[in-house]
Amino acid sequence: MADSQKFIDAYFDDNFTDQQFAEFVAWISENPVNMAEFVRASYMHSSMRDLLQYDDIRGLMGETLEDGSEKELLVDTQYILSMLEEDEKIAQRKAEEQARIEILAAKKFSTSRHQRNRPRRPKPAPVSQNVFYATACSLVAAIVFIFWMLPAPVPVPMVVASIEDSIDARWSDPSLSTEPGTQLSTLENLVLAKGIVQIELEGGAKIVVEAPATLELLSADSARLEWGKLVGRVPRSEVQLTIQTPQATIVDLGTEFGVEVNRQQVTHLHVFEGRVAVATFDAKGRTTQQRTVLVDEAVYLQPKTGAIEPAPAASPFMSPFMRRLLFPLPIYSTGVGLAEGDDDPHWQIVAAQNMPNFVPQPAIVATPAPTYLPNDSRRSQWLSLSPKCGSGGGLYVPHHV
Amino acid sequence: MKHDNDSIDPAASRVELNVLWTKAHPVVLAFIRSTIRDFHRGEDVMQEVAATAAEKFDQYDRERPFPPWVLGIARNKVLAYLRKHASDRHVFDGETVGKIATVCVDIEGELPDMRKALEVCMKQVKGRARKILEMRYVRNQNPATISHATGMSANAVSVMLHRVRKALRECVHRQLSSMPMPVDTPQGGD
Repeated sequence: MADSQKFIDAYFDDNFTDQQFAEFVAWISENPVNMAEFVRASYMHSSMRDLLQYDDIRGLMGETLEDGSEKELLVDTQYILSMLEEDEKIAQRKAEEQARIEILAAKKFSTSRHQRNRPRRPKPAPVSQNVFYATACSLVAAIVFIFWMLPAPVPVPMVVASIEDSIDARWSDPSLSTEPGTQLSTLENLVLAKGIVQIELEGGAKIVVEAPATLELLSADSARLEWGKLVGRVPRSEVQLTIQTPQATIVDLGTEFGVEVNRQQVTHLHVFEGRVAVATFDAKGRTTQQRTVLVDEAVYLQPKTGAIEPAPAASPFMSPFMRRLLFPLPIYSTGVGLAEGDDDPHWQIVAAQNMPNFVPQPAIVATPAPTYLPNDSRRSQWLSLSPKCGSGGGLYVPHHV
Repeated sequence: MKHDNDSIDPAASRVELNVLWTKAHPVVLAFIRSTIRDFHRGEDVMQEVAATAAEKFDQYDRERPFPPWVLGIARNKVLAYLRKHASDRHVFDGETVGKIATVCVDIEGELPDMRKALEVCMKQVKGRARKILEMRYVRNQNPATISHATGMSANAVSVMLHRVRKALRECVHRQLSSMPMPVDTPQGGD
């Protein structure tokens, strides 16, 4: 580390990015010398707090002597005098206030006596009690009716996000576009009927929503997923993202995570990077459980009970979540001139379902299954692992090289 | 070997705890502040450590040094605090906290001299640098808040804090290596 002390100071002032903090932790854990340097700096830091606080208290007690010599720790006489003067002023202000109140009270008394001494008004004409009550009740009823008829304050939708990109997407509301740049507001029930949209919230976070899904944008950094699937991502540590589901709140802590709410309202949360804090609620909205979910960890959040249960974390290749908007690759025939059974140098098989120790292997030209169209090497090429790469029953992920 | 603590007079035990606690206090507080940056929260945890140390003092083996025992309590309190505040930014994991506590025990003996040296060096910091140190360490303000109050940029505040601390570290280092020689002035003032 170039300037370790600078990093230590940045730690104490919490002036770090997430990456810098990770580097810092790695540095102090690297060897005992670094750790000792950090501990000594911590001791200095702690002592500075104590010494400066001590000096601050001393400052109240008296002036520092000009020659800097140690003086007796006594309450300074000037300070006592100023406190006494202040007390005197407070007492004086109180006395003045009291005198003012008394004058006002005397004036009021004099006015009321004057009023009492004036000739009395003629006695008002008697009004029947029943008429009086009826009038009063009518007035109250009229006021209640007017207030009841007044419209309740209407919440105003606010633009808090826009569509960054989409693939083959359609909202159930035909008036709402999925074109990039489309602005999205709060108070809209966004039902994605088809495809995938990538939304950028004004707070800086991004969410990839996969149809079918229903969500609502709550603010520039939060959304509610009623059901369906989304991936949330925050590009920088200062950006925040909160996803609410019917029974949980998920808060990113500088991370990327996938959330799925199924029809039974079970939430599946999978953290791809960083970590997230999750809290679940019962039917009355009380917090039932809360915990931090770490990278590569997955949990189920059960409705009603709010239990947070471990879930199997899917392999990155087989993740049920669409983490990025992947556009179809333009595929060109790369097998021109190759015969069946030859390696195709343009393609590799990089992963296979249920084969965690799979080693990337070249794709080979294979015989097409009879259900597919005939292989025309000028226009297309069948790629397969079989028969060189063993069982052909899995799902393979080809990767263009 | 553990003493028969039951035979110790309670009043004498309190005095003993007071003495041991006073000596260990700075290193325990330094450990807590190294893991919990907010001074007020750290001081709350320190209170809890003090309460637990007093409560469990009859379990302390007097054959062994006191700082490791009380730092063990502090480590547990810090870990409990960090678990409770797991969503805070930039907090150490349990393993790192444990390592810090171990190193605190290892270098605890050299800390009192460092404190004395720092005390001397701190007297030399004056003017604007002193004000910024006071805002940071007495008022518990971060560079962004200090920048609002002083009109400096947050970056300039961070740089100034770093320079003053660096000057103080160098001053302490010189003090410790040449005790009891006179102390140089750190370059932190106006």
